[in-house]
Amino acid sequence: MKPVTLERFFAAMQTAHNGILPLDPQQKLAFHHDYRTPLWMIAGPGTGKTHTITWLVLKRMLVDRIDPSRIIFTTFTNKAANELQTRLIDHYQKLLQAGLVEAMSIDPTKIRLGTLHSICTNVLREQRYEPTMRINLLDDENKQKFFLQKTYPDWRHPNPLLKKENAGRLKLLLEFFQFWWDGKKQGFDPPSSRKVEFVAKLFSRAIENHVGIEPLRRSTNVNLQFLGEGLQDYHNKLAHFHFTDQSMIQKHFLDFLNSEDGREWIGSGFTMFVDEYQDTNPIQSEIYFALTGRRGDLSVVGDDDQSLYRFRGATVESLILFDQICMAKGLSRPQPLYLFENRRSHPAIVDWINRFISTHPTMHPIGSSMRVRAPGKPNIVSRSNIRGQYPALLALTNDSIGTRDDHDALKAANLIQYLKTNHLIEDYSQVAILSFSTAEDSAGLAAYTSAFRAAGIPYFNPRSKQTQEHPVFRQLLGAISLILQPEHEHHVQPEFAIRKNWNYLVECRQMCRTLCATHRELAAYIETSVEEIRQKSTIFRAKNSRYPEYLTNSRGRRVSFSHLWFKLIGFEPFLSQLSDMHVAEKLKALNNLIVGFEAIYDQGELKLATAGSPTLVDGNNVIEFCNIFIDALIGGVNEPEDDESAVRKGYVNIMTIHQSKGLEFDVVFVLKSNRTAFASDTHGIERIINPLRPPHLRNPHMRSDEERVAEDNFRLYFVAYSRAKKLLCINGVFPLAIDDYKLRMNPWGRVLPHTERRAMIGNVQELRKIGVTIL
Amino acid sequence: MSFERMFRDWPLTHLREVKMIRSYSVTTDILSYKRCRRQYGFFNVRGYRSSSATQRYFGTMVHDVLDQLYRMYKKTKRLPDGREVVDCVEKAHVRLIQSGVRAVYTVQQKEQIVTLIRRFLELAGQPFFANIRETEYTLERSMDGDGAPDFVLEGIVDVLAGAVSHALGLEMSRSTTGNDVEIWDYKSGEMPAADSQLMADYQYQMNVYAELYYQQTGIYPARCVLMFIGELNNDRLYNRCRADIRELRHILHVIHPSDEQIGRAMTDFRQTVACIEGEKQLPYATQWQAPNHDVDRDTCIACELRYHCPKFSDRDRHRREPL
Repeated sequence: MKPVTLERFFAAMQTAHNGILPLDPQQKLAFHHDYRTPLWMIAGPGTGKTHTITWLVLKRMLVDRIDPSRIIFTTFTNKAANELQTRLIDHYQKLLQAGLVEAMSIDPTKIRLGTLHSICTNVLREQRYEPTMRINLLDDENKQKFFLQKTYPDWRHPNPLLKKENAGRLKLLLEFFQFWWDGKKQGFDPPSSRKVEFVAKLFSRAIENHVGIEPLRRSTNVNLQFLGEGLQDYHNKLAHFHFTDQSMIQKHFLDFLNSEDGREWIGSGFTMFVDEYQDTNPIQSEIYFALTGRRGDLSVVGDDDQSLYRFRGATVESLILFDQICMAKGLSRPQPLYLFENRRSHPAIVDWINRFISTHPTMHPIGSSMRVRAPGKPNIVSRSNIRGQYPALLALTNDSIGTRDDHDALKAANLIQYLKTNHLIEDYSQVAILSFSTAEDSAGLAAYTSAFRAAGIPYFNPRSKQTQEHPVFRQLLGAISLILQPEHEHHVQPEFAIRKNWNYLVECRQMCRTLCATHRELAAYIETSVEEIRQKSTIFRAKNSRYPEYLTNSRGRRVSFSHLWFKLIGFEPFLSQLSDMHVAEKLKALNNLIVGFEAIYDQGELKLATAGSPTLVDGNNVIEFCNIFIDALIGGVNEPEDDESAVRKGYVNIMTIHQSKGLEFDVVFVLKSNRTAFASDTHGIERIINPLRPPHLRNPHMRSDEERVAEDNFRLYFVAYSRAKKLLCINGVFPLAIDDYKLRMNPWGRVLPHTERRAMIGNVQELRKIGVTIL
Repeated sequence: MSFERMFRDWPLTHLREVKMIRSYSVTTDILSYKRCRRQYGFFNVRGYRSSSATQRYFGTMVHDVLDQLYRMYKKTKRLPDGREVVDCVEKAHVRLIQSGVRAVYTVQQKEQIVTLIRRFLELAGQPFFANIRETEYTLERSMDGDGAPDFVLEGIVDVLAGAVSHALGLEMSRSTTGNDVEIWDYKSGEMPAADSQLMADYQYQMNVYAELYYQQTGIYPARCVLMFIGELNNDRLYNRCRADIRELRHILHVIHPSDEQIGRAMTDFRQTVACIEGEKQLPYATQWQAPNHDVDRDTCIACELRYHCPKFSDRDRHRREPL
């Protein structure tokens, strides 16, 4: 079949869009690009990035005749991948309806579209890559931590970083990476869960940064040597027990691509499209270049100002320095292509976000050639249909010093109610509350949720990290604990149990007992189960066996934690709660956590303890439950995410700014814009690991930790502000005094051009002068 | 300033309905939903997880071992010998156990698999392996929902083969040629009764794959063949067949896709997708109710929701039993 000409393709696009070609001049340039050179597309918020890239993929198939099975299209989340697939098929169908018959010969479902992780997993499976065949994936951080705490083959062999005798060395390592730790909390010994979390993070960062074990072990720094030892042990155990994690699967994939089979699979190279490139990490960058077969047919799309995932190993330099990296890879130097026509937001909001990102010295270091943003980046220009002479920018603030959360929250609730009652919004889901954390005990969020409850405004906050505190969640957990540990009276803490975990469990057990007083069937089930364990234990102990025996029920089935969960939800009041979405989601969170735990801990199957043991159920089961599973819970549990929809209809959606990426809302409240950001382990790890990366992946001009923190903070709030379509409400307080530090943190002063910095906004009158209305 | 004054110039826009084109697979979605919508809704849509994986061992092992043996054949161009089969089974077993699949009586199961595979290789190995074009072949196509929401139909075919039937000299109601395209699907058990629901499901699956293959390539496969490896476990029949697979009447079930059968299957597929999509629009409390039709007892017994499911008559007894 003859290729479609670009003119015909545009004509079909135009027909599909009621006679108007849905491309602005910059977007159109991407369709004329010579793909022997990589395409470096930098797209500001609301400038039609997804729209452009999906049409571009169709253009590559129809006009450039690229076989769809030779196209790889990656994005950041499963949700985004679902959206891309829907759009791609929808656009494809529109082309057919517009009479572009040649489109019938292509099949867009043959494109490999998904997150990089899903593509890695699928290709490795399809290609039967030996090291990963039927491998277990630790697909979330909890599972990775569970694995690290599992001390194969028994308790004597934990990871060197977690060995008791190495506690002092681990503390030095913590201090080495977390310089703030030593400064802030001299002499403080972090809890075990925190240590495990940190060790898991270190391992992941090392892999994502493509840092080999050998450079660590050869280092002259004893802390890095120690990290190398730990990483080696982690690798060995993953391989031995046939596990991998989210970072390692990428390393496996890169190893495959560099193998003979991998090179054969790549052949002459794939046509690559990478969305959200600003959040790419070094190993991913290596994978993308490898997949092109060094041909350079690589289109990257992203916005450096929206890079948010440094804490997961992303390096914004992948996008900012893309031209230099391409040249280091022997490819032609790409010119940046900017999308800057914003069709999302009211002009006043566009003006605000421009002032916010494009004036401050943090994002524009004076007298330095260092790139903090993509070179030559223009301001975005408002092209939205959303117009109107109303204050699209509101400040939730007042002249008094310090926070007045209750007061601000009440104003926010009144405004939302007004908008809904007067049909200015059709649904509460058109409103979002964004904050850096949605834990209800932080960021003053509790004041807002309380005001919403009082006003009868339904809200949805799945990332509250409070799921573990829900009464039904705790009652069910209490029931499992009562069955598992009937011998432990709640006032007596078992010797092995970590105090805070046991205290949490005691409350759960008590809540379950209270529940049982009114739910006799549930009470009877727990009592008969306990009695069954006692009887089985008596019989088993009489055998004097040296080894524990599996606990089975009367049908001969091995009893596991998840089995107990399923049995318990058969009883009231849990059964009725399954019909209530809000509670059911919390019960599901517990179910998912239990099954994740069981994947590491012998399928969660319980055993009877041998004679002489102080517990009826095997001590390992009880210890793992109390000290590892409960430890993970009380660190905070979110509700499971919905892969299809990021926004719940009928509710005001409360979400982290990170979660809001890629979304848009008519009305956005941004809380705590004056957040004080500190350098964290993220920045410490990045600084120390940078010189250990392979030479071409090193950042030659890494800024100080403090400067990178400030950059991150700007990007965070840039994302938050740019989600708003019609109304942006910013909550923040005025600083106590004007100094450099306060200048950086003041949400209002940040929007002033550098030359006006000294005239920082210190009260509501000055805020009004720059066009902000006070709510 | 009052809100009325403040927002009198507010631009009114309508809430945009978000379109979603979802993927549906014959086995994971359509047949699961038809079997029991409650079980499907809880585990495949809402995301509850069950850790039980015991049933998967035997079937997965057979698939994995045949796949590996084919790969060895592709490299060496000779059939693997008995020792290689044993090694391959052992490796596949270790991988499966490490991947968390639980199994009982694994020694016996492994021995049984070695026997089945050796017999299969002896009876059909050379013509079968020599005619394989692809294994684990992914079929995917966007489909018009015909009034209901559009969707992507997906499936994975065990083996896409050339004319294996022709090479094996199987007697067919239709003639075979060396250029035939065939879809082969391994089943690790024995052939179910011709009028059973399970057999109907298998045929349905093959008809949908045939249509999917047509959508993707423009031609229909000449036939779909279900291969019931478990039939080779019968020593008496095996010994009687004298190394001729054609004598084992129940090992292969051939389906010649017809317009009528495919049309029926695809209409049913679309209707089922519409039912699933419709179910998602219902209020949460009324979604994924137990089905009105009968559900076979094995499905219920394997389901963790049985302790409260109205469809399972023994639910109260099972629930109240300790542990």
